[in-house]
Amino acid sequence: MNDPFVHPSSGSPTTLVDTPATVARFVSAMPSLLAMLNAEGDVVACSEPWARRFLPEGKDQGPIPLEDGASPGDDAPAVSVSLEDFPSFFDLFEDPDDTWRELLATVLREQTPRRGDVRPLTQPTGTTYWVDWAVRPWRSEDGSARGLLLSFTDQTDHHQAESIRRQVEQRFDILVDTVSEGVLLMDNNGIFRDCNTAAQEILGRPVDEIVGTRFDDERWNGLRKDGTPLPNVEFPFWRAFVEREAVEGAVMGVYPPDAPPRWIHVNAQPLFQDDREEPYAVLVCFEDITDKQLKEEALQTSRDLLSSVLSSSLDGIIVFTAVGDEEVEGFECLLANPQAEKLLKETCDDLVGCRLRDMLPETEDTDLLAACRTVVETGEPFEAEVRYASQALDAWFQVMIVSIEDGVALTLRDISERKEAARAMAAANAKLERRNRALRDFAYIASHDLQEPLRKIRAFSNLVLEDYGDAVDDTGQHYLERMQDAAERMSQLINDLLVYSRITTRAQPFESVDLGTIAENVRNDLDLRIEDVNGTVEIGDLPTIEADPTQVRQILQNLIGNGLKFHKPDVPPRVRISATVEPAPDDLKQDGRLDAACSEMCRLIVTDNGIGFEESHADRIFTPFKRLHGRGEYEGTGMGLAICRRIVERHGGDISADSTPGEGTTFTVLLPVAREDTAHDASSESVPDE
Amino acid sequence: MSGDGSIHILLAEDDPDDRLLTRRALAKSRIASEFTAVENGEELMRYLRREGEYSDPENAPRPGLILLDLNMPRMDGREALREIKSDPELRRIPVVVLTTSEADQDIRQSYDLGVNAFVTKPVTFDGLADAVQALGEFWFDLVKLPPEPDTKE
Repeated sequence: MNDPFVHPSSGSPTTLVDTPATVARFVSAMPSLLAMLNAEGDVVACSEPWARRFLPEGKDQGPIPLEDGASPGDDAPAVSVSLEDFPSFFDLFEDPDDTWRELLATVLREQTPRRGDVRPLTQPTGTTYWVDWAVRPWRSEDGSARGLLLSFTDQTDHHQAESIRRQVEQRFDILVDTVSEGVLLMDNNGIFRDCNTAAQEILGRPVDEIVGTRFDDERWNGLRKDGTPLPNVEFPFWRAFVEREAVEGAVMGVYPPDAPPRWIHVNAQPLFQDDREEPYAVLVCFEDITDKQLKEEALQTSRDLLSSVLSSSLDGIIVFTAVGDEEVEGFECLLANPQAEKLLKETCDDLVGCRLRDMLPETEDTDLLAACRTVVETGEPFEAEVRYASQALDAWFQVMIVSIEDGVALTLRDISERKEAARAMAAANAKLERRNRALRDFAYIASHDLQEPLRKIRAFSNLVLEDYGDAVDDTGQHYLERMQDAAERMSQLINDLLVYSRITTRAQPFESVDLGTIAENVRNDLDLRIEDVNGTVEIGDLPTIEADPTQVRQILQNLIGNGLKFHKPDVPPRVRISATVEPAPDDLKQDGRLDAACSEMCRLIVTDNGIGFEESHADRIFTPFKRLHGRGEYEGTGMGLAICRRIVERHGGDISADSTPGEGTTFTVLLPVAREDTAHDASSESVPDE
Repeated sequence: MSGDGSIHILLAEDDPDDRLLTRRALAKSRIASEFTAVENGEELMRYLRREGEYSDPENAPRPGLILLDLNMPRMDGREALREIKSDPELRRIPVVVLTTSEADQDIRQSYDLGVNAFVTKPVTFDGLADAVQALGEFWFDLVKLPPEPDTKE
């Protein structure tokens, strides 16, 4: 700052010594803001700019005639200063803290000039100037008058600019620290000079590990989008610097310490100073998009998954969007997977945009359009089997419709083969049913029509014997008796066959059966026969099982009866019945000899001391009408054991025989103790009585 | 009952052998009776209603007992039984089903239709003769039947 008061020739460098008038005249002429104060602080003279700037309007034509711009001459009125007329500095300016008053007093007392930078100068009107100031004492040569010279340089504009700049800077700092984006400032050497909090968080490092490092520092370990290392020249901020152009939307990965890489979305803006071509810095803003990226990856993964599901699905899948403003008018195909193309024999391009009605027209039984509407309205899925029999489309489809956001997803499964199989099965069943009916008819025939003539043969031969017995000799009578015996045996055969066929057709439901009681009853029934042959029947402890009581009784009757019948001529028959309950072995179930659902089985053993038979016949004896002995030796139709086996099989069990000729036979019957349900009694049919 | 004290038995049976056997069995029994046989349900109904060849009451005396076979051509025994038992004029005549059937269903159905007795034909002739004898004794000696309409006065 120029100091107009420095007087090189003066003895004292600090105090201006002159006549007040001379000083005043000098002050008035100065172009800068200069004022002369007396010791009381009154402004006794001032420069024109000072007056214009600081004096109130009313004092304008004050002691200093500055308006005309005339240089104050020797006779200038300014010289004739009357101090009383001049305003006090402290009237002109507010000085609430007495800052100015103390300053001025100090300078006056110490007679040492002082200067300082921007300091507010507030007028009573409220206007504040910011000034650089210099205060220098003056005194007259005789020392009678003293005062101060006050020089101001107006810095108001500069000060305002500065404070605005500061505000902006502050705002900027706040902004930068508030935003969630990371902000970095890289200088023209590639060194980071500043960073905000978000940058520290995203990069996972404190400020001192960021600021001061170069962008290509190892620690950053940049990654390309595909996960390969990012070469230095590709760093977006470096590119912005080198290319002198903003880089926007670059995506790169960075490694926070000891953590998986984070993905950032980077904008880098080169900063230029004045007209220089090379940027002095690059401002880098970046956003953490790791989560977004992960979500996107997950989304992409699920998209890929969905896509592979769609393309590999064996079901045709078609997505329809509902068309229509308020009411659903129709459905338009949005998407069709390869299987749908195959099933509908159309390409995807042809299908997309196509209406449901055209693709899958209404059939006699099913209106898919109406079904789709209902699905959209209720949200309930729809399922149906639909037959298409047009020239273009000849198939059975299982159709499933589910509601989706603004339409439906329709799944098609070709069930033509299944339908064909079901049809074939139904046909086979019908055939089987016819056969069964024929079998039942046979049973009926056996019980009535075959019996009728036999009955007649017996009745009429009876009549002949009765009415014409005298006319026939003994041989004739014998023949007639043989005839009657034959007829009776045939009748018995037919009856046994009927019993055999009725095992399934006349089956009773399974119920709890006490084998002990049943065996006891059978023994009572056979009482006469036992007595006849002088035999014994021993019954051990027998369990209670779930079975058809009539049929179980039949088994016991046949087996015990067998034991009584096939006894050695000189040895009275002895039949023993015992049973155990044991876990059902798996191998028997696998062989199909025992019901798969059976967990516990009853092993019923009937042993006799009879004639026995060769082991090789062990299976034959269970075949209908198979006999091991001539009728002359032992009575019977050969149906008893066949009936036993059929009953045991119906119960999901097994029967077998072990025998040694001449020593006796042991029959082993395996029967499930309990049943899961009676439903798996598949062999039983509900048939009207024959 | 007829005035001469003999009873009239009407047999509906399609099998000539059985008709013969039954007739023979009846003859063998000590029951004084008249015997008429018809061959099927339709003929039976014509007889009972005195229609067609039976329009002359002399040819079709009201039976004191009907022996009915179940399985016959044209109208079978079940249908005939239903008609007899739903006819107010005829339903009081005792009807005995005499059949080879032992089927529960036949027995049940016959009683449901109002049969008075169900008898399975014995296999031998002697058995049949015994059965017919027992039936006659039961129905004509033991059982008290409602008076016949035409003898009411």
